[in-house]
Amino acid sequence: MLFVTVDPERDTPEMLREYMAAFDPSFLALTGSLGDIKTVADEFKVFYKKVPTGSSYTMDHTALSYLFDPEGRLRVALRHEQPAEDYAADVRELLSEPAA
Amino acid sequence: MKTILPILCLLVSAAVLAQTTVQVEDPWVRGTVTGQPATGAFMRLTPTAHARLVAARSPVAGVVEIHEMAMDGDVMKMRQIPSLDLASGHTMDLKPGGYHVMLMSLKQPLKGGQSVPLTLVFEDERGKRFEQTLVAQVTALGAGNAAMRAAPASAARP
Repeated sequence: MLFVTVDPERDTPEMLREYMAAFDPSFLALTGSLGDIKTVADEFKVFYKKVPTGSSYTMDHTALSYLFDPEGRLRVALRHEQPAEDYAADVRELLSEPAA
Repeated sequence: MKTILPILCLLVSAAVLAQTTVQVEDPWVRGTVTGQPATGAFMRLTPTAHARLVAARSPVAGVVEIHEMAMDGDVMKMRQIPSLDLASGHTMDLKPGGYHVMLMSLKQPLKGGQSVPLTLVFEDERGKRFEQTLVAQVTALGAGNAAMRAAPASAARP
């Protein structure tokens, strides 16, 4: 499970490491320069925008999860509102495919 | 008959002036990691008469705001809102992905099981402010999206 932050200014590597560990030791967060983030976001067609709100700012961002198959090919985009059952079914489907 | 009318007036006026209260159910706060600046507090609110949540404060946070999370197509957006209307007798569910109280400028990381005092500031139908203070338990980060079950009586105090 890979997470890429769209807010590298606030999400420090130390915080990201600890945050991921709260969920599972195999979860990995990725960060980089503002330019790096832009490059990766564009490649994944992820929209993100810094928006002032209240006393701070918030990041609007695309909330899709991408599934890669065991061959490393991008296969599925799962939406935020879809239930856990959808996520599990798609992962199971990809894992059950015969190797290409 | 002479004494009944004044008593009726007194009873009617007492009912009209009864203070609005808000039932707060299952309040919880999502746990945080070291250095994390903000987190959400969630709960169900049911007022006895129309009211608005207008502010909140907590000793664990330098700033507390009311926020709304909403999806705009596939884009997740969160915004501060100045107040949250609460319809009389209806339950407003502050939950992840929807309305919530945002605890910002956190003074410390919040560990699972920790108690977080929270004061909610409401306005009643007449615009008069009233406050209610409660304690929310922290659900550890990664431990799900709900209030923890009640701890057994023998659990150690935080």
